[in-house]
Formats: sequence, structure tokens, C-alpha cells
Amino acid sequence: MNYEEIIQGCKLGDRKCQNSLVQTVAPRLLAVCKRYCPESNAAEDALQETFINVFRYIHTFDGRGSFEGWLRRVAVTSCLAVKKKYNKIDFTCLPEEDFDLHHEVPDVYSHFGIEDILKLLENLPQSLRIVFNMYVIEGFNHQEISEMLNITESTSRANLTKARARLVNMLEERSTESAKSQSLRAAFYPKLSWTN
Amino acid sequence: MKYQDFEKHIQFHLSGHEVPIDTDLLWDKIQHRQSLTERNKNRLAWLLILLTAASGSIYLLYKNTIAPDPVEQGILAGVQTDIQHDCQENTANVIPSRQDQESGTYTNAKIHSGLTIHRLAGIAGGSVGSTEITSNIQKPANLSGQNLSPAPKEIQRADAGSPNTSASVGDFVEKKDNMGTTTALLPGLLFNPVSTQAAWAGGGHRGKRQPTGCPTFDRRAPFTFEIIPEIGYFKPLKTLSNNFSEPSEIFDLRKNHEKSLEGLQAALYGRLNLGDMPLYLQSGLYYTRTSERMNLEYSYIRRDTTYGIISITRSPTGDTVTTIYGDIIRETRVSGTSVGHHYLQTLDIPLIIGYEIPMGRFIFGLEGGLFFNIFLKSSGRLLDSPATFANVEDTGNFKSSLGLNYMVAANISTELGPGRIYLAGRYRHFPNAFSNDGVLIRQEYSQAGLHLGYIPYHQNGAEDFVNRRIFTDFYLKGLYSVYHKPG
Repeated sequence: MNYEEIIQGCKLGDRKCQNSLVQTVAPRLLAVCKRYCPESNAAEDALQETFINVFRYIHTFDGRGSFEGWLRRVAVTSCLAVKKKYNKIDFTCLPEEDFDLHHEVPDVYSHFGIEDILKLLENLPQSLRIVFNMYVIEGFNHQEISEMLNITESTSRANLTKARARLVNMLEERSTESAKSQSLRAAFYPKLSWTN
Repeated sequence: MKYQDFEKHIQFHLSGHEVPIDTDLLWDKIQHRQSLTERNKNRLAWLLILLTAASGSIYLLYKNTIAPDPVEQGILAGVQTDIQHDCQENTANVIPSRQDQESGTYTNAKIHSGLTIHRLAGIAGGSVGSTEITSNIQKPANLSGQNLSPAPKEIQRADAGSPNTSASVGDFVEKKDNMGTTTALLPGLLFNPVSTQAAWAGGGHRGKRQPTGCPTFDRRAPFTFEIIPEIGYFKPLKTLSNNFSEPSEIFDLRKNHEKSLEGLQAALYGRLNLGDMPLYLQSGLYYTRTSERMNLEYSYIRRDTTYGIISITRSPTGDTVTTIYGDIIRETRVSGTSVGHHYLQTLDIPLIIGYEIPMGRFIFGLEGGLFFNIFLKSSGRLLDSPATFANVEDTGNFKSSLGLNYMVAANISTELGPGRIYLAGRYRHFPNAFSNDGVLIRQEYSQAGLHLGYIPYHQNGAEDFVNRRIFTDFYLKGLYSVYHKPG
């Protein structure tokens, strides 16, 4: 079954099509949910909520734009609703600052895998992480983010800048740590060789 | 490496990221949740259908079985029965009603009614039970020869001149005794008032209907059903508490600056009066709307930062002086006031039991009951950060349903037009908080209010109902006395 058939079937409430949709997109949507709700139970709750909302509102999908993009948007909205239900997300008003995307960062990330990236992002405060995820990974613009999070666009921009600055700091710390460990290793290996 | 390459790296890895999951188990869970949602919807629909059906059935039952026959009403309307304590006298004492005295005309129906009642009292030896009456009276041999006490002259007038006199009436009214007064010839008299009325009705005897209320002397204790609209105003008694141990600026701001405004209420009840008992059951739909307002005075510093400005100055000698003015930070204090309102709407199905005590022209009542909440709907803007409001729907702050809540009330009512108007003081308590459990601020309510409602009498039955309650007290004690309506 292709997406067209699945969408049409879901619009008619066909259980088989709904099941096909779950089988097809659940792993990808769970990845989205885990980025917003790192706690495993909350992520699975959010995933269920996502599918319930998808089946309830699929008639509003008019075929314009990517269906997967629409699914991601529903997933993000559901995650935010679940998150807000259990925990207040405080988007404090921060002063807007500029961030230079051409800022030089140490090249420690080139060997980062998915798990490393996720761990790095999990170290960000919740509000910053949410905005960063929405802007950088999901590709929403600040207007969309402000509408979905009910914050101002400037707050969204400020949070993104803050998140980027934090990430740069983290990368620099990583770089320093790896440099230290390399120097330690360099200091350690000669001893070993001398001992041997 | 540049930072933007780092972001591209993240996008590349995470955009197609998948996390393995047991999709069959997930599908089962989703189906279970869908079926639960469907079941809840069905339950609500069935509840409403049952409520409507029950209300309709009770109404129809009442209408078909209890509503007094209009002819009977007309018969009884003109007669104020003066039940003598010496019932053995077998007297017919027809006392014209006030209205009839003024008009000077009497219908035979009224006369017949009066005769019936007194004759019954005599035969039954003081008992006025209608069943007994009928069985005794249908023995013409026992009654035909009896002399009845003189009837008023008006009877003769009615007999002679009333255009309403029908043939059937003429059969039983004739001059019989030696006093020359009108008496009833009982063999021709149908003592069952209802059947007599039917006969009259068939003979075109039905005259102008007298819309006067009067006790029916019916020992049955019928249920009566009334539809009651109500509106009200209440004061929301709000309690805010911090769900977490850490101090919160948002909590402090809301606690100090958020004020409850008016609470409005509207309801439509169906009330079932339990026969002769002064108790009633009430149910229907009960809507409330609570408003909260918060005046927020915010003040914070906004920093605008620009990086160094380069100034290049060329000297006449061709030298250049380059000056870099490093970070220029401009701080602006932003302050102002903002007002945010949020609204909480509830719809409940109440189940109320009440007790009423007539006192003079007023009736005092006490009520208590349960409310089954159908939904709680929140809207408006709620404080989201120390400086901003957010849409309530997006914050997920409030529950969608409140479960059970309780109410006690006292009311006073008096007759107004074709019904009763009442004013009720009501206290309602919600044991469950309006806010979700996991949120920062717990928001609880009680309501104290004044409510105004109107009980339109059902045809003429409801007025009888009030009368009957009072009359029944005398009736059951065996006291026959003239009945006066309250007031």
C-alpha cells in the first residue's frame, strides 16, 4: 500500500490502513517523540497520542505538502501536549542575541553517531532543546514555533541562540577533554613502552 | 570547522532516524484507546437518550393518567363543598361559588356535583372515599325514597332556565318532596362524576370551561412533572496552591493578582414531585461559566547587542587609524501592564432531592444533590511566564472532566402568574481540582450563589398539586374542612 491509499483508507476509518500506517511510520515517529520526551514512557505515550490525533484529524490533511511533514508536526504537537500535561515548560524571556553560524567550532563532532548527538542534545535545558529540535531538525520557522509553543518569535529566536551557544560550549569542552585525554595517553604510553 | 556544518551533521543523522518498536503491541494499544473513546462517546449518548426518554415517559404518563378531565374540572369548579360533620343528615347543601353568585347562573353540573358529594358522605357514614361512594350509591332502592334537604332556589332557576340544562340532567332533577323544593331523583342519577360528565359532554353539555383550581378529592397520589428553567449568579470560591515545594514566581503572581469575576449559571430541570409527599426529584442539565481576570504588571530588561563597529580614519599624510568599538550593549527596560482572562465552563447532570414546606403564601425548600460533570471547557489566556500569558488550551492546564461534585441549597418560592417563582441560595463543592495533577498550580473551586427559577404549572395540575399536599394532611387525619389555598 502506498501513502495515497493509506491516507484515503484512514480518512474512511479503515482499520487495515490505520494499521499499515502504524507499521510504516511508528519507528520514525518514535524517534521524533524521543527527542521531545526523552523519558521512554512519556515518548510511548506521546506516540500513542500522535496516532490517535492522526486518525482523528487526518481528514484535515488536504494533500498539499508532504504527508510525513504533517505527521511530524502532529507528533511534535502531541509530544508538547503530553509534556505540558506532566511538566510545565518554562520559556523564559531572554534577550535576543546574534549568533554567527560561521563561528569556528572544534572538529570533535565529525565522528559523532546518533547516540552521541542525542546525548549532547539531552544536556540542553528543556526549553532550549525543544526550540532547537523544532528549528534545526524539524525545520519549522520561528513563526511556526511561536504559534505551536505559544511564545513570541523573539523568545523563539533567543532560545535558539542560547541553545546554539550552549552547544558550542559543549563542543569546546569535549575538545578540551579529548585533548587532555590524548596528552594523558601520550604521557602514559611512553611509560608503558619504557616499562616493557 | 564551522558551526553550520555541525548543524548539517545533526540534520543528516537525525532526519531519517528510526527507533525500533513493537508495532503490533502499539497497534493493540491504539485500538484499545480508540475503543475506550468510542465507548465513552456511546455512554454519553445513551445517558442523554435515557434521560430524555425517562423525562418524556414520565411526562406522558402524567399527562395521560393524572390530568383532570376538563368536564370534571368544570363541575367541581363551581362548588365549594361544605362537608358537614353530621354526615348522616344526608343533606344536599349546594353553596354557589363566588363567581357564580356574582353571575347569578348555575349549571346543572355544579348542582349535581354538590349532591354527589353530600350524598356520598351520608351513605358512606362519613367516609368520602370515592370507590365506596360509587358502589353504595348505585343502589337506587336505598336512595330513591329519601327526602333530601331543601336545595337552594338557584337550583330551580337552573332547572328552569339554564340554557345548559341537558336531558340527562332533567331526568334526575325534579320536584319531589312536599316542601316544594328540588330534590334529586337518584335512580336517574349517575353518581360517578366522571361518567356523568362524560355523558354530559356527549350531550353537548359542555359549557364554558371554568379554569378554577380545586381539590379533586382524589385519594390517589399522582406524580407530577414540571420543567423548570433557572438562571443564577455565583461567587467562585477559588483556592490556588503550589503543587511543588519550590517557590514559583508564577504561582505568587497568580495568587496575588488573579481575581475571580462573576460566575454565571443556567439550568433546565425536570422535576418529579412524589405524589402527596412533599419530596421531589430533579434532574436535567446544569451549565456554569466562571471568569478569572489577572492584571499583570511586567518589567524586565531587554538587551540589544551589536558586535564591534569599525571606524577607519585616514590622515592627510595617508596613514590610517582603525578603531574597533567592541561590544555595544544597549539595555532597555520593558514594562507595562497586561490583562489576561480565562474562562471555565462546566456542563453537569444534576440529581437533586428536595423537600418543600408550605408556610402561608410561601413555600420553603431544602435541596441536596450530586452533579455528574459531562465536561469542563477552558478558554482564554493564563499566566505562562512572569511576563506573558498563553492560551489556556495550549497550556494543558485544566482537566476535561471533573467527575462528581456536590450541592446543598435552600429556596423560597411563591406563586407568580401561572406558576411559582423561586429564589435559591446554593453552595456547590468540587472535590476534584480543575487543574491537571502534574501542573505547577492546583486550582480548586467551590461556588456560592443565588439562583432564580420558575416552575410553570402543568396545565392546572400543578396548582392542584400544591393544594393537594396541604389538603392531604387534613384528609388523612379525617378532618374535613374547608380548603383554602395558601394566601
